[in-house]
Amino acid sequence: MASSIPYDPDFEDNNPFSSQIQTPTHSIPALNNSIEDEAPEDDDNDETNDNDNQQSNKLTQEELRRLLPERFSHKFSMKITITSIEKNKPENPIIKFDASIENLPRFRQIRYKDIRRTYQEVVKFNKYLSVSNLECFVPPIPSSVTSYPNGGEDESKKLMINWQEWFDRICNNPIIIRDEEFVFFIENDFGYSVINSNKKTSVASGLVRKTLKQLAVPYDEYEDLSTFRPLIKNCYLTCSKLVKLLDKNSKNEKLLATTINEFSTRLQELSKIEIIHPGMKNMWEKLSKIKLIEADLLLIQSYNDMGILGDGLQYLSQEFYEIKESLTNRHLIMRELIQAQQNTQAKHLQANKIKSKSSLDPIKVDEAIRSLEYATKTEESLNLQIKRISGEMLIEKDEILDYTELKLHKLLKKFTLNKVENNRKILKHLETIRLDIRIIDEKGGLSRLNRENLSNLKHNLIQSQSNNGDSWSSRTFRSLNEEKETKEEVEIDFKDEDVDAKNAANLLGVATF
Amino acid sequence: MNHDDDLTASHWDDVFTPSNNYGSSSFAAPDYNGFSDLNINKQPESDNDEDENEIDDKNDDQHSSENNDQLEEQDTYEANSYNPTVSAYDAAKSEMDQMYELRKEAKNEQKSQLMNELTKDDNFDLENSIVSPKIEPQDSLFLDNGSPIKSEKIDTNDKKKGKKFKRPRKFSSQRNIQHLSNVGPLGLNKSTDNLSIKSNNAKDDLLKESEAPLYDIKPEAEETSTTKVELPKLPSEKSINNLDISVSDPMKVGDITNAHIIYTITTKPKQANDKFPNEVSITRRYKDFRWIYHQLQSNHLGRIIPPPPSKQTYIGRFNESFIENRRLSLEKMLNKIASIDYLSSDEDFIMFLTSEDFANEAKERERISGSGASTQNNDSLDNDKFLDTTVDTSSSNGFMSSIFSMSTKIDEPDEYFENKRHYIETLETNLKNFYKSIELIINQRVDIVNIMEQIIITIEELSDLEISKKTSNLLAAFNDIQIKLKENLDRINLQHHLTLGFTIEEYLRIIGSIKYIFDQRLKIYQTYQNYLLDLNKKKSSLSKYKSRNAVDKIETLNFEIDKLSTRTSNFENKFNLISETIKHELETFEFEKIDDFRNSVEIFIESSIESQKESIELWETFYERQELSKY
Repeated sequence: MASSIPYDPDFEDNNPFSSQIQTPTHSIPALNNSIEDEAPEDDDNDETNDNDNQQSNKLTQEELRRLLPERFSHKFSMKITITSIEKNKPENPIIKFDASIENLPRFRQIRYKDIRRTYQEVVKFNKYLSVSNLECFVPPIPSSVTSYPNGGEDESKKLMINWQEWFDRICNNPIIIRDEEFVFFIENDFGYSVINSNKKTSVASGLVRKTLKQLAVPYDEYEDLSTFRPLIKNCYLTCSKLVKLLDKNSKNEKLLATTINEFSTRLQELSKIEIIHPGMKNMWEKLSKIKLIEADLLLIQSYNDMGILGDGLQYLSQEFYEIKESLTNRHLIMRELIQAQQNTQAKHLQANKIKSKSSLDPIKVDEAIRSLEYATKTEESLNLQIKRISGEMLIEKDEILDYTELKLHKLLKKFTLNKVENNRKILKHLETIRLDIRIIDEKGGLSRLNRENLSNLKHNLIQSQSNNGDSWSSRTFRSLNEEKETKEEVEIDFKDEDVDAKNAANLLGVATF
Repeated sequence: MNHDDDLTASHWDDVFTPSNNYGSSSFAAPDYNGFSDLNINKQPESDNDEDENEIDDKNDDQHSSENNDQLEEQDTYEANSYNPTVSAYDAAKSEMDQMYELRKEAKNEQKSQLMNELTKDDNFDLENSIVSPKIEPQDSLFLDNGSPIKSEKIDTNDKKKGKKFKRPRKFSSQRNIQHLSNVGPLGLNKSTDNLSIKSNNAKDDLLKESEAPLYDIKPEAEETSTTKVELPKLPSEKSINNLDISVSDPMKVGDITNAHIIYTITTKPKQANDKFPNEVSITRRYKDFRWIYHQLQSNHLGRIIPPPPSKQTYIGRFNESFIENRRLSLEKMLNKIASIDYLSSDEDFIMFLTSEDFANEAKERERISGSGASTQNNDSLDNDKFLDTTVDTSSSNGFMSSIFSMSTKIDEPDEYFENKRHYIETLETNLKNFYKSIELIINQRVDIVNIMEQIIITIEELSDLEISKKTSNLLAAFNDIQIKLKENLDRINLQHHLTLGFTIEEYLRIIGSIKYIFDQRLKIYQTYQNYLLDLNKKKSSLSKYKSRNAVDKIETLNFEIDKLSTRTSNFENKFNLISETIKHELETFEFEKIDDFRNSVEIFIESSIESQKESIELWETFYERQELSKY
């Protein structure tokens, strides 16, 4: 079938041109094996494609190879390593990175060092990429700021990780690295602006896009993709809602931290007037101290919560938004295809009309045939484009789902570790002042439970978090310890290897969570 | 005590100021009325004991017939002359007394059970205290009291007396018993000996102190205890609370115009007692609790009465959590009152716990005592104001306190009170701030809980989207934790509110009570000063007349001076008494404060620890179950 959308079968049968096209599509695969690039057999992508094929039954392996040659070539690769992020104007930091290229055409060097791009330049580049590579879900660039305190160590660390992740993802996409704009992005010595800007603009933008989105979604023969958009859209909506709530929560927590801080001051004041009994004075002072620590920890906690989970979900929701837009673009192209098909149909009718006429005007016949050919070609190219987009998206869809899964796990892991650490700290501090409260007088407080002769006030004051595990549970396993151990192991592993500059940069850049 | 003054006072009170006996129940000086009347009524008894030649009034006739009780009368007198609680009954005229005697007879019958119950308590306490090794050598008379046989004797003595006192009497029998029990088995023999009683009192005090472990560790307490040896007799402060009072079943009654909540108060004796009916259940409304509070305030000068919770604005009166809070506070108030001997044996309190026809009885008692309890609107009690006002709390006490603060401008005779007042005031300000910030924390936590609820819903939505099976599982597990954490936070918030928040709020109200007794004391002092001024004036004019030799005027002046000096000395006594009582009360207050705050802070800390443990456990489990270490 020439078009992905079935329409009037009568017309199909009568159309000599469409049948002409139909035959080559089926015959080409055999030839295609040799064309373009040789494809290695043992590939993860192959497996996923197989699955796709089974599911959709629309795109065969051969078709995919023909449509997406980049996917099956492992000749080309690019590696970008962040070296530092320089402070510039706020919102516009300078990102410094090294790049190494393998086999990619047009690049004049294999290694590039100290490439400097400002944030805004990368934004432009990213925008271009998403427009020119309609078949890809181009990852959105990370935000220039984080939820961590401005300019802090946490923030710069997190930014490095975010940027490295982004570059890794861009470089791992075989279609994107083939984009010739990449050459300009890497090679330009002084700054960068989009060179191919007039080559392609977005499919439809502004009001047109809005209007078109209101129309019914065109029929999608790839079921996976047709259900994918609503899912992603919901994910996007829920995620951004969640981010907003988390933000609110963190604001509340910060407020609570200040209130607890104030509470601690109040206790301090109270302890000052508690002149009658030194024990009471001591109690209030200790309590005040603990509360102060708690307030600080809560503040740190709320920053961490937002820095880890909030920012992470924020990025995910951006990602989902971009994916949603890409899927919308695909719909728009599908609509273009429908228009093209209708155009072809109209032209075909016109040709038929001329054919049925008794007197044939050769100029008119030529004209009709030419326009029919043109329309058919447009339809054909659009059809191919759609197939290519659909095929690539099917692959990337799985990648995205895997990525989301991994990302969420990582986020929650870091979040959990952080929470545990924080709670353990608070617990430790709380436990230190128990005795201070009990020794106020001989009664020994409630812990004595009416046992008049219990002279040992310290009977149950052991710190609950010993090295042998927590006293309240039989668990000997501890997330934090394990994490530390694995980290140490990794460090030892790396020490064994000989660390050259590149390796070191790699190590520094790699996410440690 | 100055008996001669009292003797003359009885005459001159009758002759000169009969109007005083009809104590106008004006709010301005209820204490004054109460005390002047106290003298009249008290006096005849001492006549009876010490001077048979005195002309007796009706009351004395009655009492003289009870010859076998005379020695006890002496005891009673001692007790009453030191004990300000008498004013409740003595405020009324002796005629009135007669009218009520019949009624009392019936009441006494009914109450003797409860009283017996309460006095039993005393015995128990005393036995303990006597056996305790801390008996001072100076009290050689009591050295043999340690033997168990003697302490048994106390029991029998008291039981006998308890039955005897069912006869109509001016003084509630339980007071006698109470006093007797404090005097001990030998009290009868030495009842005329003032000195021995004093030493006995001193001993009581010492015993009391030996009972309280708190005293031992406080260096300052040691100091004050020595001063307290001179203290007039104070009934032992604490006893094992024999009554188990619970406030339950708040119910909304009445129509729109007079809707209110009634609470069911159930009083249960802890020890089985055949005289006391198993359980008494009555219903009271909030207003009644205020009434008993004010009534007790006027009955027991200089005592810190456990206060009821503050009033609430009209809106939110029927809010569930508010009612529950109030119920808890009321229960705590009643139990605190019941745990203090002299309050738990107060007739008004017993009436409050038992009476079926509270509204009328309350009115009557109020009329007798002239306390004006129902009309009193002590704003120190309604300290809910401080929640609305801004940081400057010291000036926010309104009109009433501005009047009080005017009265404080009188020269304070005792530096101790100056310091204490200052201390109490700063304590109040600090506690208010403390309360405010803890309230703020609690409110903010509620906000956080609300947001967490929304977060939970959103995470659930996200997990339902099934991005992938694994993510869904992860998110669902994460959500479970969030739910548990939310519950945890909610619980701990409530707990903090109920422990620390509640205690602070209670103490703010107690401070209101303390301020009230300070004012009571100052009012007495003022009256005393006025009399003193008057007396001095009269004296100077007397000397003037004497120089002029104006005989008739000298005579009248002599009468007046006599009367005035009696009054002055009465008030001086009263003033000294209330000062001592307050000092003593403040000390108890400090100890209770330590206890209460330490306990609530301990709960506060322990609950925080538990909640931290729970969170850690939740997160650790989550980490382990989801195998997050792989990522």
